[in-house]
Amino acid sequence: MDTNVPGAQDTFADFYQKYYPNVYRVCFSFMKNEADALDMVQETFLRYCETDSKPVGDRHEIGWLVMTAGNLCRNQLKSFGRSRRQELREEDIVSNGDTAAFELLQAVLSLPEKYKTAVYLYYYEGFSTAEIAELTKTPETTVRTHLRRARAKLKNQLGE
Amino acid sequence: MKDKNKIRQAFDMIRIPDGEPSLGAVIGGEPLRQDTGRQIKVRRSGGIIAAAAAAVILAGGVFAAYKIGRIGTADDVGAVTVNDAVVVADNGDIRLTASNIRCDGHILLVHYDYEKLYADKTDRRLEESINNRLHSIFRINGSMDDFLMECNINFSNLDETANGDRICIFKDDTESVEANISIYENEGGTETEILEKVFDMTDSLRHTLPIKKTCNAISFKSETGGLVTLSELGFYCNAEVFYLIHPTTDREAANIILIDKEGKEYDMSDRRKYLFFHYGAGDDSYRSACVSALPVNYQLVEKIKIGDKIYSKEQ
Repeated sequence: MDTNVPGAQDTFADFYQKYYPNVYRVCFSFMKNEADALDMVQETFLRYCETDSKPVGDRHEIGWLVMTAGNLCRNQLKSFGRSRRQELREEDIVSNGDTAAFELLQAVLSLPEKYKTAVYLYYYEGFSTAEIAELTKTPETTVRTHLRRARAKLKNQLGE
Repeated sequence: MKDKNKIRQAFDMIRIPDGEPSLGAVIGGEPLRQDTGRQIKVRRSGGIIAAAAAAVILAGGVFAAYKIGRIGTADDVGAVTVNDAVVVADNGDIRLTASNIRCDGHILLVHYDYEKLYADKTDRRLEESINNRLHSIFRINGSMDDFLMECNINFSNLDETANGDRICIFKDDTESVEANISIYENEGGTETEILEKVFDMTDSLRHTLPIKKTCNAISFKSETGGLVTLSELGFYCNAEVFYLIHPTTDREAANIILIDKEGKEYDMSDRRKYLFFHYGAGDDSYRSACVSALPVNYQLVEKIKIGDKIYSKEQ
């Protein structure tokens, strides 16, 4: 998709609208506040605009966006330093009064950054470990290890 | 963690902001220039987004912006990146304007709200921006000398680091300014008159800009005294005119609709028709801005509707 040509706007807008919630979830899981997450969403879509080798197909598109968003967020967090990070606020979540779910979300958000994209892709987007391995260009065994460790951390945090 | 759905549900608890993501691939006007990546990234400001967007639109680039409802200190401000000449007319906080722009070409800042200059007198970003990029400053009202002294900006050094580009200061106090700086007296006048002067001064930059200069500003008032200024940014690009709208009073504004003499409405928030809409942001004082390529002549705009309020053209 060439966003530099007339008529491409609608297509791009549709693309943005389609994936905006997914990308935002990923960005928020890293940045933990709305303003920074929105910035990262913007950066992610800008990267998409800029790339010459755009992914084709839903799975590749979401995979590309999630990976890009994760990488951008990690870089941004490095530049911010630790002081920037914030605790989860009530207004940042859709609460149904389920405290267990809220605690799980907090636990997910507190996972080490290196596990987050894999956890998101595996659990939220339904990617297989093989697909994640291909996206992240890491061995499938590494992906499985990350997921296993992430699960262990969640269990530990939630006292299960 | 036997139930995978629990994690999925946890991610679903993240609230997705409604703020319509005003990311848009632009551009009106022909021909589009596809030879370079004229792209702009803006965030976390009001007027500057609109103004910068217009500048990039003029250059025929891709514009992407995100509506953000607040602005923090300059540290919170991101960067605007463009690869071509830019004219930014923004009646906002010049510190933010300066710190938001990185440009390989010329930058012209138009500023006529002196008080905001003093928000942070030692802003390093401003100093760095000026030293690195800012080739022209037009400022109106107040004393630029005081501001520069308090910012600890040395104009002699500034001239060197700007690679000899002319630095222009539009000011009403000519005392004690370095000799290598062009000074333009502010003789007062309406916004339109001031802008006309400013654009007259940009002739030396015009060769870099694929535009025809112009400037106009019309004020619209509501019955309750609210004021909206519709400023023609000063650019024609292939017969399209770009506007900057600065409502200054109505915090409830959600949409801006322009109404022409025949009563036809143009909803500026419709991104499928228009290029850009930005609402909110600014600092403590409310600012909102909208840039669009209108299919109507600027002079034909009779009323502006913002939320429930109607603003009529001042006679």
